[in-house]
Amino acid sequence: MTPADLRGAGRADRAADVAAFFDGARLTLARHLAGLRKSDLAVLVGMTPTAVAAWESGAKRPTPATVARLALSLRVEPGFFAMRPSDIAALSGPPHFRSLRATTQLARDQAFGYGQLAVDIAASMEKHVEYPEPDLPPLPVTPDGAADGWDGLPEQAARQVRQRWGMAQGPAPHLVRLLENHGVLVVFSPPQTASVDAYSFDSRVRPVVVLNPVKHDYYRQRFDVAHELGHLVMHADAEPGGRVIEDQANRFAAEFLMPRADIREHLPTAMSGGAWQGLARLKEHWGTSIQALLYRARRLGTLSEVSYRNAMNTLTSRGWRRSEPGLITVLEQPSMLPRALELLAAEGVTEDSLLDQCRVPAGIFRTVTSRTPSPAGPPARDHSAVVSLFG
Amino acid sequence: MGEQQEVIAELRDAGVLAGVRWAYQSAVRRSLETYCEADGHDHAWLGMTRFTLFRDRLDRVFSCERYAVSIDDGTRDVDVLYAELSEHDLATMPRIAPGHVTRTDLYGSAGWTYSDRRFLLAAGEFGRLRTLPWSERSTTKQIVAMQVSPDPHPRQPSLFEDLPAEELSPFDELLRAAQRHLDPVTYMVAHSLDATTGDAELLFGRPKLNVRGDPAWHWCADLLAIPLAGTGEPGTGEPGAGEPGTGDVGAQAEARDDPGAQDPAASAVPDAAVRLRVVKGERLRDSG
Repeated sequence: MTPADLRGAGRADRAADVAAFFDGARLTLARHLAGLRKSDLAVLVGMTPTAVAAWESGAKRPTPATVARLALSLRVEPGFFAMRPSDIAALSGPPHFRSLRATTQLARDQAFGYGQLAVDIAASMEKHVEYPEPDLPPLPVTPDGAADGWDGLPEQAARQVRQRWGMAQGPAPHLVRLLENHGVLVVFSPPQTASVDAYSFDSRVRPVVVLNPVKHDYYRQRFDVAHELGHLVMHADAEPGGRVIEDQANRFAAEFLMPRADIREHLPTAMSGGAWQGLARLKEHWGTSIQALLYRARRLGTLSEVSYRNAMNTLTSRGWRRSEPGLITVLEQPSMLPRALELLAAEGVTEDSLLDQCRVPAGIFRTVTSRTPSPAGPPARDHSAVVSLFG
Repeated sequence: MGEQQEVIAELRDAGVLAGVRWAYQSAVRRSLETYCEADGHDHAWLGMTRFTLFRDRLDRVFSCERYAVSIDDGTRDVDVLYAELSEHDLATMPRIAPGHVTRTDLYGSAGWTYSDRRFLLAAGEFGRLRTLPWSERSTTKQIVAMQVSPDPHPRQPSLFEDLPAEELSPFDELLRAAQRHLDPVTYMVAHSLDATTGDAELLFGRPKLNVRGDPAWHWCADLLAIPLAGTGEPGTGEPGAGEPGTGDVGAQAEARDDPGAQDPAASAVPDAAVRLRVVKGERLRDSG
């Protein structure tokens, strides 16, 4: 027998085993990661959408041969469909995506599926390593519960988190590390899902922040991380995607990164003289973009509406909306899973054995456990647009 | 070769027309998605929204205004470029290197220039773009429509040329003298939308000053009908290799961008406090 034959034989054996332990939720997850509708998958395996729905809901159990066909069609090992200790999707709160209209349900399902897999990988490795305990105070804010103005519930929530985490006055340190050391899993999403901006959800096992892999700006990424922290703290039960919810998360992030009490006196009151040099200094000191500083100045009332608008126009004309100059050119990087991987490697635990244990494709495993985003390729050029993460 | 063939070929080869078509189709789709009569929207709202989004999408595809980046850095922070775009928009967006098309407004009217050719936008009534009455539009549009056509064929007399000199106001004289030759030469992109059926029109051409009912163009091309490369639309090819301005910026990203490069400031921050649970030498069991 050739090695390929052996692998084929192994696949058939495992399909038979897996059929006995088949978990419909894992099929749903695999389908989401592949970016397929039930009807798409039905065509691929030559069955009806009703049959796919029945396998996913658990109403029917697929035969070993069907499990093998599903695995081939979705490009996963049959073991992927086996029951896991916990169904992450069932345990999770709603994922907070920035814009519901910019992404289809298919793309959001795929992105959420990726997040669930990240939690699953982390949980799988947690049998051998200890992560920092989750420590996010629940400070719920309802959509109509935040008063306008500079000091509503989102701002108070931000200050409470800073206080609970024992943060000193002034700029927030490495944000990703701060979240990780309070038990939040931070990962980059794969380049195929670049249309979905950073998002977060609380899996109950562990809160998760998934970062956009095409945002190459250190300062704006920090704001994203603080924004997602705001969702995790304030919006565990809120309906995601609304403008009010997003605005509250922005207010949380602004206060968390640039507390009013510390920054107000340093913000510009006019855009004359050395205002831009001052903003550049503030940017480096606080680790936030000039746009965020200007917005902060407007919200806190130090800058008039006209001055703010003129400043934003200047920013636009300089091409800084998309690419602000700044000294720090490297993103904050996640370390929780990469560090775990390194510790296990030092103990002789190979990637192969972890892959076998996690039962995820190697490509996704590497993206989830990477310190850096995968290189961005060009967006898909076909019309289905949602590209399978199984590659 | 007539002016139409020359201009269309030049702008098509540079990817500019594909950019215009993508921008318009994106704007139309989003306008209609958002449009809701029950919410109080009317045709004025739809027209204004369509124009605003069209202008925004043109700025995106040509990397102008808020989407501007330095010329050699078209891959920088594309999240801003992609923000709020649908997956279909992303999948079909032509890749045009920043700096090839620049924003060059004319008297406050949004305009974009490639090489020495500028175009402005003009909305019109669906089904009547070919007779769009420039004489009833803004002074800027009238000025554009008054440019002398380089076509060798005899030009139709313009509205003002038939009037006796004494009937021309000083302002009209000024227009005649100063605006016959705009620099750069300026064309029009006319667009329309039938909100009920979702049918749209998109013309690119050299406008001719007219009165209602008369032909509005020296020549024009239907951008929704002519084959354009690189739009991702059915029936069109991939962007041609070597076409100026249409290089695949995504591919360049891979070669140049290295966001994972080690930064002293970043690496100085210790990793998260992860500790081993297993004792040395313990074998992992399959826990799935």
